Amino acid sequence: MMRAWNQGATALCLLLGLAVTCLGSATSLAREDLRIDITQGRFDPIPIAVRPFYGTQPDTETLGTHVADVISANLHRSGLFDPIDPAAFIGPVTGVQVRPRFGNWAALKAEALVKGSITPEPDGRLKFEYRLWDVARRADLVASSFTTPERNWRRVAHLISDQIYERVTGETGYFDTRIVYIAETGPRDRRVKRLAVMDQDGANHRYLTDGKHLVLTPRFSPTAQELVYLGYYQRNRPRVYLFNIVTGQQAVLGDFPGMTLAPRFAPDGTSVIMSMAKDGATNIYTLDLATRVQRRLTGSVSDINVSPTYSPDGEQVVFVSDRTGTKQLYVMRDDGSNMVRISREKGQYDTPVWSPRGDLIAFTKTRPPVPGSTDRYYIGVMRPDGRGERLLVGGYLVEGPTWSPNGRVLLYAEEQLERATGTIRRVLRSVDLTGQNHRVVPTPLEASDPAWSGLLQ
Amino acid sequence: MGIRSLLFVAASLVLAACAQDPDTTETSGAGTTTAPAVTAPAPAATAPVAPVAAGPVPGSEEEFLVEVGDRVFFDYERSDISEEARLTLDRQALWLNRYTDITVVIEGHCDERGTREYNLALGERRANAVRQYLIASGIDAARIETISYGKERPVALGSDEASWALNRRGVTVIN
Amino acid sequence: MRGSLLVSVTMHAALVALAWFGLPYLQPEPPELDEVIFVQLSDLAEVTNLPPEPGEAPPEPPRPEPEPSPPPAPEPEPPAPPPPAPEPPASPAPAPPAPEPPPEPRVRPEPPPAPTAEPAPERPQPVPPRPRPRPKPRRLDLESVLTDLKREKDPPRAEKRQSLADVIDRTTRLGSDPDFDPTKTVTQSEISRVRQQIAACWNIGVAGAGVEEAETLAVEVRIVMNPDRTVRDATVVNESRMTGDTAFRIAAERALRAIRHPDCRVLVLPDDKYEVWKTFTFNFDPRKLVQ
Repeated sequence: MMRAWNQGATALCLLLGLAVTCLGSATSLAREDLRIDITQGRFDPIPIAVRPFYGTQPDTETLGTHVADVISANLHRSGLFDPIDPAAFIGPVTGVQVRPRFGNWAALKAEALVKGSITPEPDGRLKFEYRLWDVARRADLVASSFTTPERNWRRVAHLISDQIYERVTGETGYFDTRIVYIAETGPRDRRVKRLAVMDQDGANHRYLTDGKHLVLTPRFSPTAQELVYLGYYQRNRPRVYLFNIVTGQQAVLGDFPGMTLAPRFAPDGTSVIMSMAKDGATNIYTLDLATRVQRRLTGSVSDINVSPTYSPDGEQVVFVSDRTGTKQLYVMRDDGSNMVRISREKGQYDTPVWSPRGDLIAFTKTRPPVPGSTDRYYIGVMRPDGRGERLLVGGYLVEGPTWSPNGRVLLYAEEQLERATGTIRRVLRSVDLTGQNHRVVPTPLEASDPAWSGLLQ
Repeated sequence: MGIRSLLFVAASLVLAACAQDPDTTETSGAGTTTAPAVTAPAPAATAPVAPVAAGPVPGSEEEFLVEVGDRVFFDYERSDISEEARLTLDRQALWLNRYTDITVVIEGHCDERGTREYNLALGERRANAVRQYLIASGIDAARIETISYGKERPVALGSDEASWALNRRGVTVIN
Repeated sequence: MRGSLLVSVTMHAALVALAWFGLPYLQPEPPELDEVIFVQLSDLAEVTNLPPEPGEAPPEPPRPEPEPSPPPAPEPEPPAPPPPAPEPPASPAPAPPAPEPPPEPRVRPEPPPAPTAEPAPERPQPVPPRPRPRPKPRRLDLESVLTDLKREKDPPRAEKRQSLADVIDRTTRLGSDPDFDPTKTVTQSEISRVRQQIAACWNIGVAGAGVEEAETLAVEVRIVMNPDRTVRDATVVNESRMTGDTAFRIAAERALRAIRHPDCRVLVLPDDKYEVWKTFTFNFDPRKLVQ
C-alpha cells in the first residue's frame, strides 16, 4: 500500500516539481488526518439469533429446533450472549447454504446469527452443518459440519456452542463438558448420597452408585473417563477410590494405613494428589498411577494439610493448612519444597483450586458476618501470589469451587438455609468471574460436591 | 508406672492441643458463644451416674451407653479434650479396662460449618484425641480404631449453636 | 523555461497557502481537549441543547484570521444551533430556530442512535440501499474472509491517490477552488456527536469476558465516507495482525461491528464538510473504559 502510494507520489513529483508536490502531498496527508477517538462503549451481552436448524424431514425439523434451543440455552447461561426470542424471527427457516437476509436480523438488533441444516446421510447418520454470521458486517465468521448418529445431537449442539463462543469471545468454550457431583436425598442425619454425572447443562443425568454407601468429593480425570472420590465401602476404612466411568470398574487407590481423602488428578493424569489423615495429623501425598509409588509432600505431626490442587503446569501445589491455628492457603513446589503462605486477608481460607488458565486460585472463605448480612462463607479468587483477592459470591454456607475448563466460570455447592423453617436445601450454583452471572444449576435431587470436567475428547 | 507415664503423655498432648492459639476473632467468638451449649448437652448423654438398680446387663452396649456415656463434645474447630469430656473418658477407660475383650471404634464428627474436606480431617483429629486419651488411660491401642465422618452424620438437625454443639463430637462405638 | 518557472512560483505560492491554511488547523485539536468536551457532552440531551459551536470557537482562533473571507466562516457555525430546535422540551423559544428551517429536515439534528434505530426495524427489506460496490458473492470460511479483507485494502489506496490528485488539481488553480475551504473544519462538538453515536454502537461485550487483552487493545480504523454520510469503506489499520493475534482480531471485529451497526449506518457528520470527513480515522480505545 505504502509502495503504491510512493510510486504515485513520485510520478507526480516528476511532473510538477519535487518540492512543491511533496510538500503538497504532505499537506493532503495532514488534511486527511482527522482522527476521532472512541473511548466509550457498551458492555452488553452479544445479541445473537440462533435459527432452528433446517431439516428436510419432519423429524429432522423437530431436531433442528432442539439443536438451536440447546445452543441458545448454552450461550444464554454464559452471560456473554443475549439470544433473541425465536418468536421474533422473520421468514421461513432456510438451509445453511442460503445467505441470510441481513436486514431482517439487523432489525431484530442481532449482532450475530447462527444458521444450520440437518441432512440425513445414506448410512443413516445425520450431517449437522452450521454457519455463524456477523450481521452488521454481513460476513461469516465460522462454519463447520459434524456427521454422527442422531443420538449424539446434544454433543453436536455443545460443540457448535463452543465454536461460536470461541469465535466471538476469543476464549475457548466450556459447553462440551460434564459435571460429576453427589446427589443427596433423605433426612440430614441419614443422608443417602450417590455419585451422579450429567452434561454441563443438566442433560444425560445418571447415577453411578446406589446410595448404600457414603460417597463424597468426586473429581474427574483430565480425560473425564475416570473419577477419584472418597468412599465408605470397607468397614471403618474410608478410602479414595478410582472409578472408571466407561468400564464401571473401581479400586482403592494406594495402600495407606489411614483414611485417604480430598483426591485430585495431576494435570497430566498420571498421578493423584490427596491427603491421608492418621493419628491426628493430615498430610499430603502423591500416588503415581503407573508405578503405585506413594510420596509424602508435607510432614506435620498434628496439623491438617488438605485439599491439595496442582497448578495447570503441574509444578506447584496449593492446599489448605491450619498450621498457624487458622485455615490458610499455602503454595509449594510439587516435591513439597518452597512452601509459602499466600492468603493474607482477614478470615480463614479453604478448598483452593487452581484455574486451568493458571492466573487465579479460587477458594472458599469464612469470616464473621458483616452487619446487615448473614453470609458467613464466600467463594472468591486471588492471584497465585495471594494478591488481588476478590469475593465473588457469599451465602449461609457455600463451598468447594470448581473451574470451567476455560477458567471463567465456577461451580460450587450451596446450603441454603430457610430461617423460618430451619430447613436446609443443598444446590449447585455457578458464578462467573464478573460475579454478576450467578445461577442455580438444576439437578433432579439435592446436590453437593460438584466437579467440572475438562473439554471432552 | 506405665500408666503414669502414659497419663503424662496424654496430659502433654492435651496441653499441646490447647497451646494451638486461634488467631482469628471468629474462632474465639464462636468459642465463647458455644461454651454454654457444650455443657448443656452433656447430661443428655452421660445422664445417670447414679445407677438404677435393675439396670442394663453388665458389659453390654446398653450399659456403656446408659451408665458410662459414649460421647464427648468439642469446641468449634477444636479437638482438645475438655474437663467435661475427661470425666466421660475416664469412665470409658474404667469400663473398657473391665471388659478387655471389647474393641471399639471412635467416630469423629463435626458441625455443618466449614468445608467437607477439612471437616473430614478435623473429625479424624477429634477421634484421634479421644483414642489417645483412652490409650493414655491404659487401653490397648489395638482395641481402638478411629473413623471420621466429618459433617456427614449430624445427630441434631438444627442450624443453631445448640445443634452444632451436639454435633461436634467423638463417639465411642462398641464393636 | 519561463513557463516552468512560472509554474514553480505558482506552486510554491500554493504550497505556502496550503501550509498556512491546511496545517495549522490540525494542530489545535489536542486529544486532551476532546476528553474534556466529551465528558461534558456525555449526556445526549446536553449535546443537543448545548450551543456547542461558541464553546469551540476559542480553541480555533487562528482560523478566522488567515481566512480572507470571514463570511463563509460563520456559515458552518449556524447549522449547529438547530439541534435545540428539534428539542421542544428544552426551554429555547422557537424563535431562534425559525431562521433556520432548512437545516432541520436534515438528519443532523437527530440525536444519534434513537432516530436511526427506529426506522431500521420498520424497513427490514429496504436495507439494500447500501451503495457499497462490494457485496461480492464471497466467503466460505475464515480464510476467504481474510483474503476478502485484504482485497478491500485497495479502495482506500485509490481514494488516497485520488485525493492527492485533487490536491494537485486544486493547487494548480489555487484560490479559484470553491470546494476547498479550510475553514470548514469539523468542530469539537461535531466530533463529539459522532463519538457519542459510535459509542452507542460499540459493544465491547460483557466486561471481563473473553480474551482479556482484547479489552486493552486500541484499534484504528480508516474510514472512507460517501457524501450521504454512510461509510463506504472501513479498514483496520494494521489489519494483518488480525490473522495471528486473536485478541487483536476480536478487538478489531468489535470495532468494525460498531461501524456497521444499524444505528451508525448514517454518521452524524456535518454534511457541508464532506471534504473534511471524506476520509478519517476512528481510534477505538477501550483502555480508559476497562477497569
